[in-house]
Amino acid sequence: MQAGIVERRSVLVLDHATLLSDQPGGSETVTVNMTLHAGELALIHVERLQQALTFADTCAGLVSSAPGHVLFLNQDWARVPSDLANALRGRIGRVFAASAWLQHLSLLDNVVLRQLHHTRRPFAELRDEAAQLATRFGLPGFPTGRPQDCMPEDLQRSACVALFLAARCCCWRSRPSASIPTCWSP
Amino acid sequence: MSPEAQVDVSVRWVPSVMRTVMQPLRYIGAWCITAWRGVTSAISIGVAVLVQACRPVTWRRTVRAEFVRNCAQVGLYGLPAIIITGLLVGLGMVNQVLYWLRLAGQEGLIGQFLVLGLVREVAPVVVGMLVIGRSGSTMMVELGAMRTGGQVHLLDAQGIDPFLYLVIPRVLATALGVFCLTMVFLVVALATGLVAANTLGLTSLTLLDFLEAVLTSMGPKEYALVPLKTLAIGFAIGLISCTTGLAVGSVAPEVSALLPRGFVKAVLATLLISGGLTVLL
Repeated sequence: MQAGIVERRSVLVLDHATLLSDQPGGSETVTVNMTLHAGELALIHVERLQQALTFADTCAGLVSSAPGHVLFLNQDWARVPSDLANALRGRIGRVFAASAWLQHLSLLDNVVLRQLHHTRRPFAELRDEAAQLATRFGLPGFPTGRPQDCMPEDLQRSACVALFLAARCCCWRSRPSASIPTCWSP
Repeated sequence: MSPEAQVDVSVRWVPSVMRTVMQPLRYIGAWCITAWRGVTSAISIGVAVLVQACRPVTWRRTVRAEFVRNCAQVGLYGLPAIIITGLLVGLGMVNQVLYWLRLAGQEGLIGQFLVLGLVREVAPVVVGMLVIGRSGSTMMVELGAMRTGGQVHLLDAQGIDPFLYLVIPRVLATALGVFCLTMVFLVVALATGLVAANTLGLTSLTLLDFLEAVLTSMGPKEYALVPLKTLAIGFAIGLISCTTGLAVGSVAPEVSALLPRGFVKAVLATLLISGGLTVLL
């Protein structure tokens, strides 16, 4: 039996991407070259939270990386139309260091919002999937109520549920351990 | 003083005079340019709302849900205030019109007076003011909080265009809400005025006579003007409220700094639209 070399699809490519971050002494420009293939995990250390936000926004095409390029699923963020760019971003799961929740929606509606907007999957199916993910993250079920009425730990776990709810590509902010409930720490 | 010194003094004196004259002109010019930019920016955003609203792909279930939620916020929850105001205007204005026209022996002009005054002018403006105070300011605060709290950025990161999800439903819901609330206001005000006048013996008109007087006084212009005015006023209120709320961070650090400006802009827009459409039609 011959072992075949399977060429893995590249998910994210940063080709001389320029990241601009503000520092106390002035702004700093960093050039990044990186390729992430399907199934790979990258842990990226940055000095400050603002740099992590800039890096994540650049990977998601929210910030220009000119003169470099950022390709997500072989699509250059600088060239795709806005509708396609939004559809691609719908496939990226993100957790923010201080999770922002839409206060006028329930926690469940917040978690399934991305899927409701970008897919035609029935709400009941999304709710059941969210409930299953919630139990895997240590919740007895999915919390009801609005985000402002929930405990911070429940919100952290719900953010993880939102992240993995049919996300094809995940992007964590720096200090990912800060987003994980302490009971999961080794 | 030598001729050279005299010339030297006059040359130094001219620029300072011009500076004194130019300074207020410079301020006026800067204000005019800012105001013009604001107006053209609002018009371009308004056109964008109308164009995007005509695309079927805009109306995903999330946007539809947001539209329904804002319709309830503007229309349903604003109903009590509109009904109370309608009662007060009916007692104050409609009642008085019926009384004085009867006293002058001109009861036949009731329909014209009420259509010209109440239906065409007072109702859209009063309802517009109430919606600005109740729903417009709520929208400004809500969107300002979303901007400063990072929720707008969160929507962007999820591939949900904040313009489609936040602005379009609110603007269109406010337009529809102002139209519906104006109809409710008119019914309440006219009915209250008639009932009060009949109760006090100020008029002998029956309900059918009264309705006939009002409806026959309304021509094609009125049937076009009232919906156009109310929809335009609601559209402007929604647009100004959304743009003011989302300007937090870039124009001012907190929404409390922008609330008064947004309120005044919305009031001015309401009065301009009402007056402008009356003149045109």
